[in-house]
Amino acid sequence: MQADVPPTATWRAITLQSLPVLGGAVVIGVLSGQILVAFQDRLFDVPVLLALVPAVNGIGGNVGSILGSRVASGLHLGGLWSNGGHGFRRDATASLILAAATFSFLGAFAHVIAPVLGIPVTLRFQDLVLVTLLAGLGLMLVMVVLVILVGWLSHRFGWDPDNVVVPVLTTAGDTLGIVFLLAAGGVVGI
Amino acid sequence: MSEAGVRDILRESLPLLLGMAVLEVLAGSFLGRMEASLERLPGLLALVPAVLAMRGNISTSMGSRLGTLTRFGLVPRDRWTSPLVWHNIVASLVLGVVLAFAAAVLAHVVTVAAGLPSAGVLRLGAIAVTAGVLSGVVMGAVAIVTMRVAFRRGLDLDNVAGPVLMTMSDVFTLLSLFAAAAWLGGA
Repeated sequence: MQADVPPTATWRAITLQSLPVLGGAVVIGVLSGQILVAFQDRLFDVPVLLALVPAVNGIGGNVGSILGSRVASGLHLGGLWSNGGHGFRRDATASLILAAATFSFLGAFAHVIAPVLGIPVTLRFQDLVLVTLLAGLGLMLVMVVLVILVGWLSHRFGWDPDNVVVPVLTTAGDTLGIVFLLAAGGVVGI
Repeated sequence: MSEAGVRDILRESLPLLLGMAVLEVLAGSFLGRMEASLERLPGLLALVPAVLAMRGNISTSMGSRLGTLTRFGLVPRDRWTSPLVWHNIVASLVLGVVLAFAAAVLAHVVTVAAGLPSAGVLRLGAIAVTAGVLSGVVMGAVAIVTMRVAFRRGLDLDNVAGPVLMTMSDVFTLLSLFAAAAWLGGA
């Protein structure tokens, strides 16, 4: 398996370089699991919220990984603020629009499909859409700030952005999604 | 790529994300049906986000690496595998085993420290490692297929690989966790 594989691309190198960041992701994952456990009763009372947990986390992680991956490619090509920050502004704007559209659709789709899947929905249609939209927008604003910070750090310390920016952004989307979902639920009085 | 605008990103990413939203809601309803397992195996709920995040992170950073390698011509486009691809898959499996067990130990410790009952570090560990290996094998194949399809269709991998791998990872990891919990969780 050694033929034509540069030393930085062997499974050992990938594993060793990934372990610290992914280990951190696991720690944060377990802590966000404790958030789930702490709000277990509320999640079981409003089952559609429990069913939305992987969706909100997953889509938050998806949009985060698009932003992270694009910013990582940009960092390979020069830096966050190269070309007057045009590329970064474009990526941040696109991420916010993607989040607003996708999270609104998520609430609407869940309201329609959940009863079909045997999950009772007690919220009004517009309230569930508002919950997912607020959760998505709050999440994205935090992630844009985070990508600036991590992008600067990886540039500063010479880390490979593909190994650092993407996992950090994805973890943030994964974890904070639960917090923003519960907070947005609180706003509409769940 | 530097000429791409907001509209190009939306056109390539939005249809995928909406499709992912549909799949994630279906995966979520599946989590709802795990309620019996989750109640019978305290500590498992605390483990779910960690295992999902672990496999999702491994898969997406693997996709990001494969995308970069392919873009620079280091992975041949006329074959399914190459030494570089195998190294990525082996790394993904090793990381999955190590991190799944670490997640189970942590979930057990934190759950006990919070004064809650736990199904035990061995049982949680066996479930997490089994789910990690199952989802790792499936996701290795999914990552390679995603990369090849994206290149054949001329899509920007940065816009495509993340959402596809993340969602497939959630679906297959939840399925793997459910199967592992049913198999190893006892009655």
